[in-house]
Amino acid sequence: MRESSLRWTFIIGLLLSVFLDGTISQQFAGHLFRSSATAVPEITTLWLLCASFFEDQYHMPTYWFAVFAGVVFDLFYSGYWGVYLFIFPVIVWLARTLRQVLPVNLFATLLVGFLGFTIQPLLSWSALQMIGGTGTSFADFMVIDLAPTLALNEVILLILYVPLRQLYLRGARVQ
Amino acid sequence: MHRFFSNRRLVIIAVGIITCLGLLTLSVTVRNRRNTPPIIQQFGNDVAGFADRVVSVPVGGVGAGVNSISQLLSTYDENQKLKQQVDQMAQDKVRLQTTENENKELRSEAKLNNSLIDYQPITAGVIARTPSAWQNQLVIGKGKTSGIKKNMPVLAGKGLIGRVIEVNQTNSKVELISDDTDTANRFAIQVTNAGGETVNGIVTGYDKDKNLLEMGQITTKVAIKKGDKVTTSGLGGITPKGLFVGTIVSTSSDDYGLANKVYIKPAGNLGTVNVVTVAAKQ
Repeated sequence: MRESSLRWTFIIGLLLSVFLDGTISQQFAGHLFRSSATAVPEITTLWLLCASFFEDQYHMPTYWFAVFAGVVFDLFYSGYWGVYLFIFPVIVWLARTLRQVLPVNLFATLLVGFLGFTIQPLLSWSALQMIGGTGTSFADFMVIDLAPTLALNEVILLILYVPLRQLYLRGARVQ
Repeated sequence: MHRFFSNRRLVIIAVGIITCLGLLTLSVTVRNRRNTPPIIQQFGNDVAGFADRVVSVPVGGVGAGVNSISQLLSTYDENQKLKQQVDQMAQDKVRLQTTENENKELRSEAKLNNSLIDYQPITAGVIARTPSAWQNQLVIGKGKTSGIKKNMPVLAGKGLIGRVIEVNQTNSKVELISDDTDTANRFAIQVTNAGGETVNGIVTGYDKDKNLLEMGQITTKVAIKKGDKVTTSGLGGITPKGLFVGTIVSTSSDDYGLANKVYIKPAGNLGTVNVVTVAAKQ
């Protein structure tokens, strides 16, 4: 019973984060997308990372939901098929692998977040670079885009850590 | 060989990578060749666009609140300046109307029905922005049903901000002029100097550090200087003539003294854009 309600929370949260990414980017573009520093919100990546890192005994089909989120990103935001479709399952795989070797606490979560928030833009930049879909050089990518993006998302993760952890812990206790 | 393929995870990864690369190649081809994306992509985008509005309306409210607080601080100064400008505007408006009427009469006498300048404005709200640092794209809330076509120019604030790159039934994607990619369509632009001479060129790139557009392919020696206005030239396609692109900030000539490189400060608002105008050529 509890597991199914947790599952619904996960699905609704995922849908919300997918659209929040685009909406936050749009509403706060003047503050986030500056030419000297670009911070991109990665709420979807954060949600997938936390869900895969915190889930304990539940067996949610997280991979399939990651693929779904990837399809929406590719179609609605990017316009190129196959970029986020590949990245989001990789994010889930990363968090699940690290869960086996790391304890679940704040610092480990921030570390997983650090890796996830780096890999997501790195892979999407590489894919677009390959097809000529971006003119950003690697140096610009590292300094202008990656560093501020990491900072922004680590702060969001720090704020959301307690509520998200509680959500999954409560799920485990009831079960 | 046998052991390699018996590893299930490796096979899944290999198949995943190949599928994604295939899809990527396919979508590049489709994007460059076709006017509309495949039906399934259009359908997916229309559904996503609808769902997005459920989220974007409340967030829009919060965003508007934050923006209005920051604007409140500069309201008094701005009001003083605007009052002066409004008086000037009334005079300009009357003069524009008279000139426009005269222009229409002269054109009908000369039997010129549609010139390069005419366009039909389609106003659309922005519903999302691509959450990516290297794809400067907006999703706007109007599509094919409102008469939007691929490659139409898009304006916001004072001037040009980009062009339509993908059209679905009820929403479209706009690529901003700050998107400096190999596949980006270059706008044909022109500069008219104080002496009334015109220099033609195209937008060849975008300097991300300085937030300036680069104008290249200039082959005349007509002198242009800082502060000259740049507009679209209306040559070679779907873009109407006379859309304001920006003002010249600096010029430099190449080693052979032939082609100039001109830097332009874009007039359009490339930051937080809530409403855009798509210029549909008549």
